[in-house]
Order: sequence, then C-alpha cells, then structure tokens
Amino acid sequence: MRKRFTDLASGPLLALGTIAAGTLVLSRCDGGPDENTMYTSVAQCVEAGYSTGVCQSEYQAAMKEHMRSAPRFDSGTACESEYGAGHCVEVPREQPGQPGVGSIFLPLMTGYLLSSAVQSHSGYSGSYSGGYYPRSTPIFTNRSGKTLRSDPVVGTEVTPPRPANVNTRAISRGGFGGLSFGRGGSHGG
Amino acid sequence: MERLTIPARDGWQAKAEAVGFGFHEMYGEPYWLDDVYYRFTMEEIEEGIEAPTQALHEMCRDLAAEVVESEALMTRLAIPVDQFDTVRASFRAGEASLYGRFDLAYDGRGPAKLLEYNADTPTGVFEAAYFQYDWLIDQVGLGRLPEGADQFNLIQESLISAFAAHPADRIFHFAAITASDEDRGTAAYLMDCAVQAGHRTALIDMGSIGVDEAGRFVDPMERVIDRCFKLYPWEDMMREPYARHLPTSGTQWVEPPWKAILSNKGILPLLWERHPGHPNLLPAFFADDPRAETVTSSVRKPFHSREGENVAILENGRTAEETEGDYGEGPTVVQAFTPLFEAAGQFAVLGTWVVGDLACGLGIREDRSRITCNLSRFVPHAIVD
Repeated sequence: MRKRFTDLASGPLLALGTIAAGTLVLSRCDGGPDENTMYTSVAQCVEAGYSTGVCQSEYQAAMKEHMRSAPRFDSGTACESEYGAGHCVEVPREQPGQPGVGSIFLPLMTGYLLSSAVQSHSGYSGSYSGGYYPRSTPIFTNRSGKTLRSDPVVGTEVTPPRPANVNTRAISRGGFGGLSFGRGGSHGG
Repeated sequence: MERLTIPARDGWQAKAEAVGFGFHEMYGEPYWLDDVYYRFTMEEIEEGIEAPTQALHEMCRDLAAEVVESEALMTRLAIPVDQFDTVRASFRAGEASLYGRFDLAYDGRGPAKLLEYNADTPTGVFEAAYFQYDWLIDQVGLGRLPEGADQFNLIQESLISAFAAHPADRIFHFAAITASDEDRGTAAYLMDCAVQAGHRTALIDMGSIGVDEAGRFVDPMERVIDRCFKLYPWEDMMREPYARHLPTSGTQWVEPPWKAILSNKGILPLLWERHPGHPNLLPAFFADDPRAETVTSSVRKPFHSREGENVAILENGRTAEETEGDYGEGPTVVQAFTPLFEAAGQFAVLGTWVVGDLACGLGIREDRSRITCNLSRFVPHAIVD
C-alpha cells in the first residue's frame, strides 16, 4: 500500500461548523471558579465557588486515585526519608484472603486538582471546554517541598500553575492595531 | 505538473457560504476557482515540493538560532532594539511555532526556488487545509478525478496536533483585525482547530486589547490574556504603543516573537550567504550591498511587504514591473528573478505549509501578473499518477 496524504473516506471537520465567527466567543459567567487550581481541602474548593457536593466527590475520587497510584513503602521510616517526617500515612495492606495483615505507607495527599469534567460545567457555555486533567488528580509533596502528582507518571513534578486568566481591570485599551488602519484587505500575507 | 480544467461542483458557492467561507469572492473577483486544478505526480510532490519545504524549514530554524544570539544580525533585520530581549527570550524558551507558508516558484522541471517565507501571519490556510480537501473528496465522488487521487494536505490534522501540544489550562485567545472578513475567517478557522484540540477559546479584536496596572494584556472581559494567537504582524506590534509591555506582559504569543526574524525578507540574503548555490535558494542581497548590482534580472522587495505590495521586477537595473502599496518605506532586498509556472496566461506560486516542524501541505495561488498580490486566486491541486 503506497503512501497517501488524504483520507477520502473522512475529510476535515469543523467543530463549530463555520468560520463565520461572531457567536464563537465562549463566554464565561462572572465569578465562576478558576480551573486548574490546586485545592488543599474540600473547604478551599467550596470557597473557590464549586458546590460542596462536587468538592467532596472530587476529593474522594482524588484520594481513591492516590491510594491506587501513590508510591508505596513497607516502613514508615522509608517513606518519611523521602517525604519528610509527618508526611506519610499508614494504610492497611490489602492482601487477598488476609485482610488487615500488616501495613503500607504512602505520602500524604496534600491537595487535589479538579477533573475537567467538573470544570467544563462550571460556567463556560459551549460543549467544548478544555480540561487539563481528565480525572481528579491527587497532589503530594516531597521532602524538599516539590509538588508531585500521581498521574500520569508517578512522581512527575508539577510546577504550581500560574492562575489562569486572572480578572483584572484595563487602564488603557487600543495600543495594538493602529498601524493596520488604512491598509486594506488582509493583514496577513 | 499541469494546469487542467474540470467542471465546477454544482452549488459550490452555497457550500462555501455554509461553512462561513464568505471571502471566496474578493474585490468583486472570484478568489476561489472550482473549475481549474493543478495536477502533480506523487514524485513531484514528494521530491520537488515536500522535501525542499522540509529542508528550507530546517535552514530557517538554524538561521533563527543564529540570529537571536547576534545583536548585529537582529539590527540588520530591523528588529527594534528594545525588542531584542523579547525575541531572544522567546526563542531560548523554545516557544513553539504554529505555522508558516513558504512561497515557492516551481514548474515541475527544475528545483523549487524559495521566493519568500510568510512565517508570522500566513493567510490562505482555510482554503488550503479545509476547502481544497472538500473539493478533492467531492470531485473524486463525482468521478471527475480517479479513485486514487490524492492531495498534499495534512494541514488540519497537523494544526490540531500543534494546538494539542499546548496545555488546555487557560483560555486560548485569538486576536485579529475582525473588520477584515479574510482575517476573521482565518482566525476563526484556527480557533476551530484549537477547539478540536480541547482548548477553550475566545476571538477578540486586535484593537480591543488593553493593559492593566501590572502591564499585563487584558481582553474585553477584563481577563488577563495568558496565551494568544494573533493574526497581526510582529513588526507592527513591536512598533505600536503597547510594544513596551511586550517584554514583561507574561502573555505567550502564537506565533512567538522569534518569528519576527523569519517573517522578514532580510532572511533571503542571509540564507544565500550561509548556503550559497543551494538548489532551492535564489541569489539574494541586501539592497545596500554592492553585489545587488550584479544580478541582471532581479526582484526588489521590502523586508516587510505583504500581499505583493511595493515589489519591483528589474531587468538590467531598469524597472520592468512594479506594484504600489503601503510598504514603500524601510530596507529592501534584491533577489534574482526566476520565472513562475505559466499556463493559460496565469502565473502560479506554490504556497507550502509548515505546521510545528512538519512540511504538511500545499496551496496554489495564481495571478495574471508576475507579482502575486491580493487579487490572486486560489486554485486547488490533486496528485494523480
């Protein structure tokens, strides 16, 4: 089979159906919560404008994910040497047929990121809404204070994201676009 | 390579209108031709067009890497001195380029020759990526092109991949001069690709951008603009009142500021100097270089001309053809003249698309004049072996 560039069975699609822009601005309801922010507690998540139910279920989902994917240690000492004193939790080791025999140690979950499913219902109209995290994401902190997340790869470092599209107030407008006046047609080439 | 006629699709205008392609007619002239196409062999495309485009892109990347480290070269390219840091920092940070379009002279016989690189605000992307593809599928479906017909066109999937490389963690703003149908359509099309890559988007007018106390750029809804595609030339942004906020605003621009280097015809002599005799380059010199006099038939172009304005064809130093325009000021380059593919009284320029770092498509514009300008028409192409 020789190479082809195009697929005649399915051509390109337009998500919005048209390039006649005008109604395409996905506007945000005022005062909606900021997505992609790490919440350290259910209370903080509620404070950011999400409903208590959402914050609790997201917290539980993140905790479940954390239990599933966080690094595991056989001893508290080994865990604390990595994550610092007081930053580990002891959980019962789950073994088939022998529940409750022995323990394992995990780093403490220090925060969580909301899943995109929640974010997309938080004040943006339109069916397309970018979500960075497909699931609620647990966050934990290592000994030197670096923030880590358990997905997609255990132990990848997270730079706490810059707050997105902060609400502010312009003190001037119109400082771009002036040189285009008087040029007809397109400003591209 | 041949220019062939083909019956136009019934109702193609309605089809164009339905997807918002309202600028298929411009200045009262048809801009999209449905009943003509350029036919290529796969070998012509792969060896004559795709590979040279990829090679030119690599040469340009290398040149950008060299220029950002040299204030002398940035000065030579007329980049404002107070924007050196902006340009340098964006390149060193590895800020990703979205797209660019090489304009090539190619006639199916000799090697393709680079005429210029639209690396900052290339237009014609919707026509090439979407409507041309649509035309191919329809014409094959109607049996007017063979089942095996193809097109050098991976543009839209490449655009979506390039947008997907940006985290969808904040609004992707799209700024354009929205009063221009063509610019608005181009920005809206790219915005659609960004939406397909999972981004939340907002289309704004270039002139509506504001600045807050902290020197951050602000959209009309008083939100900080964190990431912004702009269909507006860097050389203008760097000379307008808000230029002073560029180094510190924190906005990530697409195209990134380092594209100001490559969207400048001053790269033509620099490329020739670094790769003398390269089969895909034409001899080119800065106009103030004495060697510019040695080129018998040549084309003089301003660094920043758009849409073929202020371009002159010189034969033995005398002007044979010239276009007017808004770009008459500023430095110019002189490039050896090369004939374009000519058929049926039309001259064709091949626009080859690079998205991210991939040569991924072709769009052809033809013109009755040897200087392709904004009255040129877009003509689809097909690969038929």
